[in-house]
Amino acid sequence: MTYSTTAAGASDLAIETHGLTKTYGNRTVVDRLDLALPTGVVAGFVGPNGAGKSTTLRMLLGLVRPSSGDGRVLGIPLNRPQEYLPQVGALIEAPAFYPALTGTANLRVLATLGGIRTERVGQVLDRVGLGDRGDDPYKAYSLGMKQRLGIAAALLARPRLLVLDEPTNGLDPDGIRGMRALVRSIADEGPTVLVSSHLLGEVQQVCDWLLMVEDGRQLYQGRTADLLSGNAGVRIRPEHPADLPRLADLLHRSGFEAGVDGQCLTLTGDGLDDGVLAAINRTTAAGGITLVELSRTAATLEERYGALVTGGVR
Amino acid sequence: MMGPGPMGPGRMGNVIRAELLKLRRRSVVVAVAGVVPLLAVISTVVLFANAGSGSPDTGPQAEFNPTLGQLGESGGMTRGFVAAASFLGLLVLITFVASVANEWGQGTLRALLVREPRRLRLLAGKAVALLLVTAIAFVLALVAGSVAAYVMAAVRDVPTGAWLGAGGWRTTGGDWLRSVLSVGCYGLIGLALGSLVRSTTVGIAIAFAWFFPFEHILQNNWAGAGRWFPGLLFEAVATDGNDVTSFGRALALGAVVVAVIVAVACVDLRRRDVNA
Repeated sequence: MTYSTTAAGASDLAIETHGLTKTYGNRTVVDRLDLALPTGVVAGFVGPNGAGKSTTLRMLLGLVRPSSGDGRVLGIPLNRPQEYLPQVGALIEAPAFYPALTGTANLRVLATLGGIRTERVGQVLDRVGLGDRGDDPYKAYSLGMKQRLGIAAALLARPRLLVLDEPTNGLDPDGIRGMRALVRSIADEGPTVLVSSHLLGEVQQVCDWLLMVEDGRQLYQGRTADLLSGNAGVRIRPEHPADLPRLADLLHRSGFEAGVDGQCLTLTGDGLDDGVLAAINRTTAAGGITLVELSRTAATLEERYGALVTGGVR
Repeated sequence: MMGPGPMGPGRMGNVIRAELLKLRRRSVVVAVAGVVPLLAVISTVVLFANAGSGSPDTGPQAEFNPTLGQLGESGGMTRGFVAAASFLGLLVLITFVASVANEWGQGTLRALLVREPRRLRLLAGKAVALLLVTAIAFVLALVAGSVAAYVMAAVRDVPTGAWLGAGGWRTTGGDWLRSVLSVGCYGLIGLALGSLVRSTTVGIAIAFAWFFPFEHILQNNWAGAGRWFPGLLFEAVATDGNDVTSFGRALALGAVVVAVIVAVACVDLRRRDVNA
């Protein structure tokens, strides 16, 4: 299965917004977002519940009218959704289908509505692993099957842009793993994928691009690797745990403030390059402490997100 | 492998076909082919069973109290069907309210709007599909009611010679068309109401309270109510006019009421955020 990669309105950016804002009364749900999502990436749209992710996605899909700001999806202005939505697939929040209809019938409704050949229904059901359950009524589906049917619906139009809003919501660990693999495999076929989630670990494993929001405001956008590499830490473990206090004192006198983590000391912050590691090694050797571990540690997305939220690291 | 891609998105025919696909389920088939014709049969049987040989009723309920003599005239065959149509207006209204309100309640509207973002086209397609199914249900009801009328005519010794003459066919066709127009008006009001309130329960409660207790209490206390209030106008459409308003006036004024309410619903639908 492949996806169209060129079409009218083609742009280097799958999504771009300028000052995109949504207010309800006095409450600002989305606050001047300037998004620039390159084509071809798997992007995680990250933020806690209530951060404005779903409202932003709804504005991009023409479901919610922005209060101010503008933008483009696949190079087409937001106020012309009828021109770009035929190239977009979306699963917004919980999948919503007609309970009395079968999975196949539900997809036929959407395919017919979108002018998509109904042969496509069987293909997308097979693609999400529901090929043998298409004739079951939707109301008999498990939550995981409903989510997969939602993704099948999103794939109907062979989207250039696939928008998935919290696709792992409510799934058990097996379901989450399956969904992660499915999203990754779809992304490998070519479309730009935007996955919103509040599960940072999931996003870190799947996404190579990040959009982070908090209280409707933009915290970060860029490559996942760039965000994480800027926050590498150093882990230092002496041969004898009893040396930990003396090691901490040595490092303090050399200008390093280390934290205790079990039987290790850790250093965090920017600028922990090879020169710093060499200096630490010399200091501890001169102090008569033998190290059994001196290694870099990668920051988790959760740690990095926490730092962004508290304003510690930008 | 490139498979089939989008084929003509954004066409009105797609919207109507998609709506008809949704209606291809057992409950709808039972209603269209079972409940609606059954109501026409019951109405016809009751009308023939209760018909007497005295002088014709001239009151506001005259349409529902024919004499045996009137049943033997042209149009006697469809008297039961027409009477049933008055009650079916409520059923149609409920169906239309639920059809659009459930799209909001179930959250299916957002999936539909991703595939067809032209909201008014979506509403119009739903209206056309539902009206089409209603018209088919009323054909079945007309046939079932007519068969019941022949059976009851034999039981009550009612002559049937005038039923299927040239005038009889015209009357029969007219009765069907007026009934469909009448319930169609109810249906469109239901569609608009469902879109405005986005709740099946609230929509049905409002519609039921307005069209039945409110308008009929008003009618019992003010004879002129039938000239102005939509539910009473729709009833007059179904019965080819009555003693307070003509068919043409009822249809024209009823259409204006429907147009205004539908227009309000369309403006609201175009502007409303879809957060469901």
